[in-house]
Amino acid sequence: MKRAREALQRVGELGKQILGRRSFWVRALLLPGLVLLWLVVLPIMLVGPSEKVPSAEKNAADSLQMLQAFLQQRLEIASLRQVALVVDLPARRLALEVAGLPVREVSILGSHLAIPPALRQIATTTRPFVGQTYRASIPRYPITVVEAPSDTLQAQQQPPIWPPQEDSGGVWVYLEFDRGLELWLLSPPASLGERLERWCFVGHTRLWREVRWLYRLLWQRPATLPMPIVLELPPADIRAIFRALPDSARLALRY
Amino acid sequence: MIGILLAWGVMGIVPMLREALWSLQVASVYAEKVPADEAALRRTIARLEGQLAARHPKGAYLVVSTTENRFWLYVGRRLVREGRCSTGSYVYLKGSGGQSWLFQTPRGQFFVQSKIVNPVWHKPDWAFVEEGKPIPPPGSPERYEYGVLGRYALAIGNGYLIHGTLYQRLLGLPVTHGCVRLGDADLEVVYRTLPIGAPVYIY
Repeated sequence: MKRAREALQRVGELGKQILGRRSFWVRALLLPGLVLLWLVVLPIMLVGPSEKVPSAEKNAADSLQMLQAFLQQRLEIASLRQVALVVDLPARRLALEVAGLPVREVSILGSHLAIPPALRQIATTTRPFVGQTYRASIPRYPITVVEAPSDTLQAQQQPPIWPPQEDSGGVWVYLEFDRGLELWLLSPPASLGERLERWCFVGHTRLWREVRWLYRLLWQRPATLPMPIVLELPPADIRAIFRALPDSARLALRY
Repeated sequence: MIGILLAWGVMGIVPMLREALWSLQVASVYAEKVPADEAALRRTIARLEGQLAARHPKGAYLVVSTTENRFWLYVGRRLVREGRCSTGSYVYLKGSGGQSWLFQTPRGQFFVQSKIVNPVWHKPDWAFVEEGKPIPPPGSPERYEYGVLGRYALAIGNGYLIHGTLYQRLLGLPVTHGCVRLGDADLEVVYRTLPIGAPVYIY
């Protein structure tokens, strides 16, 4: 009993000593605080000026002009015979189109559009957007590298090649188009782990984007103001869309 | 710690810097907004919608998904058949002579260029490399294999075919060298429905 009391007293004294040290508080609060700031607060804060979709402030003429521009974009895309992306935010619809035919249509679960005030005239743009680069949590194509057998005996001994089993969990894709348009295709996180992975992906990609922008600015290359569109879609749809698009994918947008 | 602070700094400062710089410039890539005549706009929209609708095939066409390995056969706007198929495996085959092949199904709009009954497979070089055999000269009888492509084949250009398979249990999986494989019953319907010139949409 006496020993136990002494041990408790010792633990208490040790606790007081630790709590009295500044380094403890620095480690306990500052570091997790910074990490939290980086992963949670900054990604939310840095979204920039935004408007919810669909916008209520547009008048009828604006909407008609947007629709006209959107149709012109789709017609130009249709002449290419490639797989292209069509994002119609007022209709909450995303489609893959080939030569003007919608081959896959997806309902958008959630969306967020950030239009910097300087770019409000984008509605009258009749040219489709052209894909520049991307980042994704999945490989572009599930490629399996196979060395050719040296003879028929080795070929017979080779096991059959099965397609790689892919994780069916969350998929996050960032597509960058010309004129600063950015399309974030994010699947809703199903667990805390996926939520963290998504935050990390968004944080890393934003950092990568800012570094690239800074690099372009320093080397006096054209640097545009980003116009991010964040769409929540089911993971299977994101996978199909991302893998179907060619390298310089065209995009028609209506908001 | 330094990395986090640096990242924090970059992510905090760059957007502010960018906004400030942008406000000094004019976004010349974006067209100026012009006052719109609503009636004229509506007429233009109707015309554009008409042009877009005209792109929808009137007759039979086929849609193939390479990610899901499924197909949909339409006549006009009516779905007449759907099912499993097999498309490119994404195997990257590296040959000993520095040659390589990526077995991928091309995407986009194609057209049925010819229809063949009891097709004979003209084996390309990779078929021999894959089997560890020496590559025979072009036109060699070794290059012709009978009965492996099913009853019918539809050529869609660049050597790609829609054909049958001996491996029906693999339908629904990406296992081909780039062609689209269908099951026997599906192939029969597709063959009979799609005329020469019918569009095939692969995504």
